[in-house]
Amino acid sequence: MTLNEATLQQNYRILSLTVDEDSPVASRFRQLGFVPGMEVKCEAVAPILKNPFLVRIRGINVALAKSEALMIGIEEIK
Amino acid sequence: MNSVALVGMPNVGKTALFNALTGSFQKVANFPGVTVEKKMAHMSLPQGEGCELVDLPGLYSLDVATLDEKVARDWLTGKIQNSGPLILVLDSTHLQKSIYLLLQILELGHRPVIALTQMDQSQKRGQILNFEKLSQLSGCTVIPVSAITGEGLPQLKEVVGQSLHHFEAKNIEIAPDYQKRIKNPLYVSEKFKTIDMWLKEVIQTPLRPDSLTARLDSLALHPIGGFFVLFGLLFLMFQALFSWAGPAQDLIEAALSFLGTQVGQLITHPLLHSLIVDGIIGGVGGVIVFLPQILLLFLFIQFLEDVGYLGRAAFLMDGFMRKLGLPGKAMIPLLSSHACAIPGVLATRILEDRRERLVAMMVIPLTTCSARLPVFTLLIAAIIPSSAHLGPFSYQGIAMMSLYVFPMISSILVAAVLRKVMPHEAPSMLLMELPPYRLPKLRHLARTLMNKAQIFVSKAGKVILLLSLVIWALVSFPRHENGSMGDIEHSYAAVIGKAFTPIFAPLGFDWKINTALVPAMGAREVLVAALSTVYAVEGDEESQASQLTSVLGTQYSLATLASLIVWFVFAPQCISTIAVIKRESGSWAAPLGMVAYTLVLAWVMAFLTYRILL
Repeated sequence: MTLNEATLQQNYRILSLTVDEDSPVASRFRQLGFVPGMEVKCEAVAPILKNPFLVRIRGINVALAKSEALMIGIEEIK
Repeated sequence: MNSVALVGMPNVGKTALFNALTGSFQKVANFPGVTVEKKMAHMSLPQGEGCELVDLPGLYSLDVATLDEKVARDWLTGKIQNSGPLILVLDSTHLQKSIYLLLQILELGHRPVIALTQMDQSQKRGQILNFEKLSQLSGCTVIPVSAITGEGLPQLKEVVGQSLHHFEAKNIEIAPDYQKRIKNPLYVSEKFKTIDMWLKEVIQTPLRPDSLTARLDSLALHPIGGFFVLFGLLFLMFQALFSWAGPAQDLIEAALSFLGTQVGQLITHPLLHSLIVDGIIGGVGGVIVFLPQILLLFLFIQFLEDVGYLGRAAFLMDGFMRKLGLPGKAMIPLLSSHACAIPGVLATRILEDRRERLVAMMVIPLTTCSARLPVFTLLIAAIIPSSAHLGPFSYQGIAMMSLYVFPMISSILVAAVLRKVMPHEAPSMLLMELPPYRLPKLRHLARTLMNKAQIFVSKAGKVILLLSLVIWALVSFPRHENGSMGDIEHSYAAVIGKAFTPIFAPLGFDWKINTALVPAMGAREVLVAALSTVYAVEGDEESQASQLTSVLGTQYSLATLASLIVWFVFAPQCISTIAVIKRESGSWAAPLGMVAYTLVLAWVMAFLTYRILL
């Protein structure tokens, strides 16, 4: 599953990132801590359009568009 | 002079620290070869002469995503001038995040002075840190500071002064595969592991959670409440720009007209009199009259940014705005340009992506700014009798309202077209950190405002003044044979107006309208005064307007007046807007492109209106 499908307030682990590694988006992902193995939690979704998303990762809040959330493969932490 | 650079991640309180360390005067230039702002100011040091402090753009890591970050990276890797010590700003309330940059800077071989900021917050939330441990692990001097309370600033200056004294520039050697290596997710995870290990030793008592941010966000990001907060704030901003700036602007205008009369009495020579009173004082007035609105808007934006709300607003609006091809934050410049395009264009600075910023600048002139109101009021009154009502609504009111809605729709369409046409750089991302809420510091706010005002007056002001003088000359020359100043109907403006008759005749404009359009380039509302002069209508402003309404009603057909309204909706005015777009975009391409497309659009739309109504 991808990050846009995450249930609110549930912990997930990042499995993969589908993004061109040299693109600015990929750099920003790495800067904010989006790398495989990292834990994320979806905190909020913008109303009406259900886009963008607000997630918590490594102690910071990050807003990301649906197109960006689609790039992040996750699995639920049991 | 020696320079010291301030480096740090975004949202760690770097700019607040910069302001707290330096005096009130700051210089803003560009880094060589790029349009990235370089802020510098003098920092006095206990060891004597002091140094220049450079505020590098914020960056998360050496693995950079934007042009601003690239400039900061190039500084750190010695690609651009790198002649002095570094102060690295670490947020004591976000160590987990901010130590990453420290690790990379150490890898490059730098030994920065570490300023551990937000100590007031850290202490308030019960955090206890082992500074010596951090100093030991990093090999750097660590100074806990707070830009809010001023704690630790003297010690920081003392240490920076010492390191300046001993500083030896060394060559930064980067392994050729370094840039590739730091992009590897394994490298990133490994650094995170190091950070977690360090933090275990450095943090003795952890922070209590930031309950304020959590509570405020539960309102600010609430599906319904969030929009109430957002629209409430935007309404407040709109109200401020329309109503509160007005009295200040009236005061400036009154003061300048008083100055004009006083100075005017001293000058008997008619040419000199007109040059100084109408040309120079009028032109300077045309620059500073924008200041109340610019300052109010920037006070508002800066306040929201300092508090941390701007990111939340972007979050709420991003989905909608992206459908128009612009990011959520573009709401603010687009909305504020309804008061005046000048602050609107300046506000596009909050958009980081250059292409999106250009698109926003190009469509801003379409929004109905307040200077168009007197023109629309006059023309609507000349076409529609005030007694005509549709139910409870007057037709005049409906017409005025459609003059807001129509341009809004056009700007959406134009933005969509521009997005397709303009050269595509990297796709813009939302991906951003939402910082914790913080109380803004007044000194910081005031200083940013002074800086914006100074930039506007010194940079855009010059072009506005110059162009105002050109328009003054067109309206005032040639002079009468007896040496007195000419009238507009015998001026070069009229010559231009007549020359343009073939182009504007299909829109129903005669040479008198064309002539009045020339000074209206200076400021739209001048059209009313210019038409009054052309039709020799006398009296004070109010009686002038009502007389002019009836003159226009009898002189021109409905089709012509409607087409003139449509022209005013789309046409590229005023020159100040053009000047500011030139200044903000850094080239003539954007303003000329804007002028070209709006001229064509205005001509076509006015032509269609005229033909349909004829």
